[in-house]
Amino acid sequence: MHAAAEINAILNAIEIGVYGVDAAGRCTFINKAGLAMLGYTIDEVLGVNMHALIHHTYPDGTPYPESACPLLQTLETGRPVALDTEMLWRKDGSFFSAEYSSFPVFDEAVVTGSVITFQDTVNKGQARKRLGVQISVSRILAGSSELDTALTQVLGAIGSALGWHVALFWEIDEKEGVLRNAVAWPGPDGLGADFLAATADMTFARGVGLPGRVWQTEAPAYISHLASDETFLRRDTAAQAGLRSAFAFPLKTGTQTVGVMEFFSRRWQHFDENFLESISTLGQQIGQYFRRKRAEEALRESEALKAAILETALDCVISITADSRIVEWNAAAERTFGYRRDEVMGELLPELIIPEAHRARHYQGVARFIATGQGRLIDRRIEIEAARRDGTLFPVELSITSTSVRGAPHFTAYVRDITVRKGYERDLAAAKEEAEAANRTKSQFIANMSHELRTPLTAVIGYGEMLEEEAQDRGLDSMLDDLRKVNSNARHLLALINDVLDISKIEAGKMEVHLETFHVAQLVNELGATVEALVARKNNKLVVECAPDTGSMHSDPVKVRQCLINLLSNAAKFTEDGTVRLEVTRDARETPASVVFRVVDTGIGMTQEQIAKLFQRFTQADASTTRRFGGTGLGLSITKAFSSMLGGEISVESVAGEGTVFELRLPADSAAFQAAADSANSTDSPDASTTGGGDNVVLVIDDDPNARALLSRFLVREGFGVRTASDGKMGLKLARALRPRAILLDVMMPQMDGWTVLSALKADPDMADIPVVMETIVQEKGLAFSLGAADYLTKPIQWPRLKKVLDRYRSTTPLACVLVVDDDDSTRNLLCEPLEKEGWSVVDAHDTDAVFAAMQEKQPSLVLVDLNMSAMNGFALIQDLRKHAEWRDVPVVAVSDQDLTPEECERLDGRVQQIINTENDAPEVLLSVLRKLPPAQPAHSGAGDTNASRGAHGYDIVG
Amino acid sequence: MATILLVEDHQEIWDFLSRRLKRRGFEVIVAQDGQEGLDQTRAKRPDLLLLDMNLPVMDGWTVAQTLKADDATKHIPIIALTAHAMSGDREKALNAGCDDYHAKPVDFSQLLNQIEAALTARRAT
Repeated sequence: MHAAAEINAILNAIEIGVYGVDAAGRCTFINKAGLAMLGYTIDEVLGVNMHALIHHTYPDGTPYPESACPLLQTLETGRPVALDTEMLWRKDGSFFSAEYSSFPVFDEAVVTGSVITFQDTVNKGQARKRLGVQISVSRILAGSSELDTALTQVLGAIGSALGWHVALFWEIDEKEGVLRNAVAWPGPDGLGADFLAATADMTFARGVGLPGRVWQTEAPAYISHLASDETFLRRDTAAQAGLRSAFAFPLKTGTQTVGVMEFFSRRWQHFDENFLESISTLGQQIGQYFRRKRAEEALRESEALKAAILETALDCVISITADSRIVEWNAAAERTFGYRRDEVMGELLPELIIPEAHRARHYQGVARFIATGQGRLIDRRIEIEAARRDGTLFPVELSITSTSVRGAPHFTAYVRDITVRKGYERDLAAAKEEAEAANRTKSQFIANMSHELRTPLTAVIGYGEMLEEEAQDRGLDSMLDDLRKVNSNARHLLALINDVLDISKIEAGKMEVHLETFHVAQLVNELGATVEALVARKNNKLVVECAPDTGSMHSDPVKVRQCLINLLSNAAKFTEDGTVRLEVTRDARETPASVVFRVVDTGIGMTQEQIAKLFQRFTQADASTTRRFGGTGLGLSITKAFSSMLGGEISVESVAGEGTVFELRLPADSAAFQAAADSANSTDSPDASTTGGGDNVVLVIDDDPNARALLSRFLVREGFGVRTASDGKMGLKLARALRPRAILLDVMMPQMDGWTVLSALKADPDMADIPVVMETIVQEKGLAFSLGAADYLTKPIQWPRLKKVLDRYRSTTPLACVLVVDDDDSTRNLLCEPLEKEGWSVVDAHDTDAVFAAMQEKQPSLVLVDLNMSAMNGFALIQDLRKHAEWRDVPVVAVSDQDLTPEECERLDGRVQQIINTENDAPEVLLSVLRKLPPAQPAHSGAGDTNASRGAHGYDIVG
Repeated sequence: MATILLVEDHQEIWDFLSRRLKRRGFEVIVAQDGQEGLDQTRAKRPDLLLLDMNLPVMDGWTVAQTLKADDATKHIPIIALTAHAMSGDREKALNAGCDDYHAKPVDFSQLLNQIEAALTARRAT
């Protein structure tokens, strides 16, 4: 007992907490320091499971099971265990960080219990405490936890080790430009939960509140007495939660702040410089971790997104390596071809889905691409045949892109089964063929019918006229009048039939022009005699005014006469007790000269609405007109068709109730017009030069010379180059030779119509990607799109719409060109890749000669020089570059993976635009510098071009 | 007065046409098919032929070709009479050897002009 009393006295005298447990972990004794530290009396402890009493919870608040406690393992292993910075819980629910060690007690080699010592680490020097934090944080960051979990653990580890009670992590919300609470630690006792709930939705702008201030100053900050600090916005909430002090520090990668960690304590805390400095180091460590994890997350998300896209894509997505082995095979490919992904991965693609006949061509194509970078099928849409697992062949639409994966070319094909579409196309073509056949039948029917009608009519008119003559001879005046009516109606019937026949001829494209030279005045006089009686019928006066200089014209007199008779009889029909005037003049102001016929009446006139419908077939001003005035309604549309066949035009002006003026303007020499139409055929050879426009050549395929001329004029004015073709065959030839930016294609053409041309274009892999704009009627736009047209226009062409459509096909101005200088392949690729992705044209150079060669060849908009090269001195290179006056305006950006010494900075001063630290600065920094560049300058040829390039840029020196 | 051979199978047409031509003082012979037209031409040597194209036995184009290929008859002017008003008919008739072309239904005064012109041209040679 004496010895035991002595040992008790010793135990109670020392400052370290000491207790013993039996084999079950129950307390057998405890010293005074231990009880004081834990806040228990001896009765509350003896016989109690000590782990459950004081070691039950992890710092982050999760339960700490007995089985996981290393200390208790002593009881099994018989070996001592020492832990540092373990959380031990006091009776009042508070906790402290302690060193915690266990020593086994043996009885005849059997472990009967252990003696445990513990010591509050807060009392053991600040340096050790901080080291402890450092180690536990490092351990968490090295773990495999998710970012949010890890950050919560970090908050808990720091908070509990340093005796803080609530902690938050504020992440920078780049979009809104504020700090937003991402994760939080409610303290080991969870007492901070209310405070966290109250602040969870708060955001802090830069410079606002404690987190905002840390963000702005990029340095740690603290508030010893929250209640008395005016800048602390959450004073009331904090006071309610019993929080008294706070501190916060930035998480940084290099110089960039990525977030803020903020801690609160219920005690008044003191801060010393050493503490703040060590916390800064911690901030760097966590910041790097944070950025890495965020990047990984983004990558994983984009990978997951990509995978989801691939799997849900309706098209087959198939990737192969340069040796044609399959590396990607999505669900659509499985469905379409009948092979499962796991069956085909690594297999040779051509052996599976390319019909045998095409396999050799596939291998040749791949080989050629690898050798030359040229691929006939790359980046365009083609139609081709593919094979299913069961050997059936089917049509597919295919586009292939090439990518480089770790320097090796990969090909990705997007394949669409177009069996159904092909069926529709066949049906469509058949329907179209049927419709055309029906139309031909209709034309033939009309021709036959008119023939059949004419034969009896010939007899009617013949006998009628004969009877009229006889009646006249015999003086049978009463009969004569009736016979005249019979004849006049027979003639009218004949005129109607002729009109119908003319229209069907015009529609069938069978109306022909017979050119003759004749005197205008003579034709007009004859005409006057012919129509005089007609005009006089409604008590109208006919006035013919033919200018003395009308001379002769070379045209189709039959058609000219018919046009004028139509216009005059039309005028006579709608005029009563008035005047019908025919004015003929020659207009020599333009070349070639034209003859202008004006038919002016004082009749009932027309409204704008009626004028709009005027030239449509089978349409008269309105239905009542037909009843009142008769006629087929074809006269004006025939007149219009004839006038355009002769190269002329017709226009109308009218005021309802006052009269109408028709003006027919015909070229004095239609031969010139016809020759122009024909010459379009002969001059359209593929090697003929193009009208301006450079790369922006638009091909116009239209049989109508007027339309070609109009479109050309418009396109040239809009800055496009124009080539024209007067028929489909020539159009196809030109399209193949020119590869125009776009094709404007007329539907209604003789021989080969627009649909046939469109189909031929789309069936040819070399031309299938040229956008084709169809000139068609609205009802057929569906057909246009289904045959592969990019867009459609209706005639008459609306210029603003044409411009809008074509603007889409202008060649886009490339972004500026960047020269990347690095002698290390992988670093160079790292620099090039993001630039290329953004659409910059990138040239790279690996040694000084290559740099100068590249500068001579095409002056870039920017040079990017790596300062950490082994074989080349970046500083010297920049100095050399700057010696060339002609390149002085080309901005240089230096990149380095380490901070530059002041001497190095001085060497670069004034020579570079900016210095970018690849370690610290995010890749976006480089891109943002590039985005400030002006758009691509015209390619300078280097030397001798200095004046053109000098002063072209106006950069801010930001380096 | 000039003799005109009217080759026309359609009875009403040859009837009124021949009567109207006779009223104008022409001698008119009628043939009702192509072969008869050919035979009558060779036998009667008319001054002019009015030749329908759609004829039984032998069509008008063949008649014209045959007559124009024969030295004995090739000087006789032929005016094609046809109801085929579609494009190409005019050329087809002229290519077959016809000297002129008149589309039905007959515009009698115009036909008279054409006959007069053909006879004048014939006399001039």
